[in-house]
Amino acid sequence: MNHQLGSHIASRRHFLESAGMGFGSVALAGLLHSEGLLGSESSTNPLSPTQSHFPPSAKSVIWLFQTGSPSQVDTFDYKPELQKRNGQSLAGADPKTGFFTTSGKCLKSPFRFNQHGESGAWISEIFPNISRHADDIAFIYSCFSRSNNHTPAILELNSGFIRQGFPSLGSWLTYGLGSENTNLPAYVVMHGKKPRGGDPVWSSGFLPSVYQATALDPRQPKPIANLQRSGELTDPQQRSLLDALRAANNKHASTRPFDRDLSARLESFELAYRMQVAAPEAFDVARETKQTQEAYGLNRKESQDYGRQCLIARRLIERGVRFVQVFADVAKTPGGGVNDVPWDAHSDISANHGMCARSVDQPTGALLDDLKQRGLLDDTLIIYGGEFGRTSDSQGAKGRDHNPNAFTTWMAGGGIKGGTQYGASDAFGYKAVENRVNSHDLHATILKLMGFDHKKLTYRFNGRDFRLTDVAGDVIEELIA
Amino acid sequence: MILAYRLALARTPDSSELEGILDFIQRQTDSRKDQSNAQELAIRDFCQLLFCSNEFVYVD
Repeated sequence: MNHQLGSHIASRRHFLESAGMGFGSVALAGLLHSEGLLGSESSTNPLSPTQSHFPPSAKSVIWLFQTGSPSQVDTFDYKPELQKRNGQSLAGADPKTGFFTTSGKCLKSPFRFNQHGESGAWISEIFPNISRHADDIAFIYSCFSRSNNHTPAILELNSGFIRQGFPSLGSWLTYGLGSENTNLPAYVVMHGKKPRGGDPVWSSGFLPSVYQATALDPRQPKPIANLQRSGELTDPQQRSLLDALRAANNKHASTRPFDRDLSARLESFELAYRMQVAAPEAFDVARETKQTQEAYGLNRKESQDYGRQCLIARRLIERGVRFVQVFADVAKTPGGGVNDVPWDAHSDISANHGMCARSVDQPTGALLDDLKQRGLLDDTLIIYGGEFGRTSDSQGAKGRDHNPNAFTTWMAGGGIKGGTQYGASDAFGYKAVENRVNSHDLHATILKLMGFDHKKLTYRFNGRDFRLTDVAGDVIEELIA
Repeated sequence: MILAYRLALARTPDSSELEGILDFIQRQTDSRKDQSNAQELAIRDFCQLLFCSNEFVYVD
């Protein structure tokens, strides 16, 4: 090697970019954050558990995001009028509502609906397992969003804004609540193929990056990249290396007492060391009984990926993870959907929604059963829904286009009043008309359930106090038990 | 070791650091008694430590 400190030596930045050293790994944000929880400086750690504004009714959230957008009129928002008027003109239809052009003619649902539970909620036949929980669920039939395009709509549902750069709900909650588990990140996202919009969907925006999600693909044998130590190193050798590193970093930090990043990073190595044991354990669904695995549909091809996501979600919240977001992984979706937007039934509602439901119905029902059996449903908030709805008129012969003007989202557990039916779309399910609900209202309600006044959870940036709900948002009190 | 410090951190280690480094390399070497290249591997561990250190990663 040339010993001159010359230009051939890579810059520090370049070296770090190419060497990786685990920094590129998805885990880093979570790691950088929780660090310090064990140390004497826990009071200055940004991830230390903190007090919410008032006692929460939910301790953790599992958001089952149905990417690509299920059709409201084929799932939970039954419209007899639409069934009757198949092929007739849809009054007031705007063929440019969606991403393409629709026919303006009513398309009836290919699925039968039945009423379920004491509450008598109408649910499509494609959800035999979710139907069993009708009385645990609060349906919101009047959701709307601002964009008819997947990426901005997904961003809106996650951050309240249709543009990139704003913190996601999970980041705000992590900022507000800190981390309960020092061995795992506070905010975990699970995806198959990443949803449309990619990493910015779970961004921490202008919040400190420690509040960013740890995003991973649980289909991979090692869901968290670069976590396991190299096989060339034994545990005592790694421990000795980390001890020596700590000594060097302590010496360096002692002359820079005001830089919190230094101590944070120092502890990040310790969290990673602990995660080497904790994370593979948390993600290992083989530790569940065969009965549980089959209940979640892990033995069926259609449901195994989403089933694994749901089962891991339960294992994570049991271990103190606050916010788990699942982007429904449906391996093959006919009828218009593709991997990153599985519910996107542009060409064939029956084939697409039939397959998507075979993927998600059983695991979703099993998750609700399982949480209930373990006494976890009372303090775990489940959210289920997509980024917009679909048109009541047809696209092509059998498909439906995007429709931001009406869709159904439901919630269960964690302080939710089961059996509630809130808001309404019009007689054809085309537009939300009664008690309309946008992302700010959903977010305000979720924050309330987690113990926060959405008007008071703020972060100063660019000279003003920002909120998740911007300058809007009404808590939907009718949903809360 | 002194050269490694100069290359990575543009300074020489002080005596207590040098003592710590030698101690670390000795420990990592001893842990690999059965390997013929034990010392080389120990020096590799030391280089990794240097590249992971805050002093290397952050610019003041």
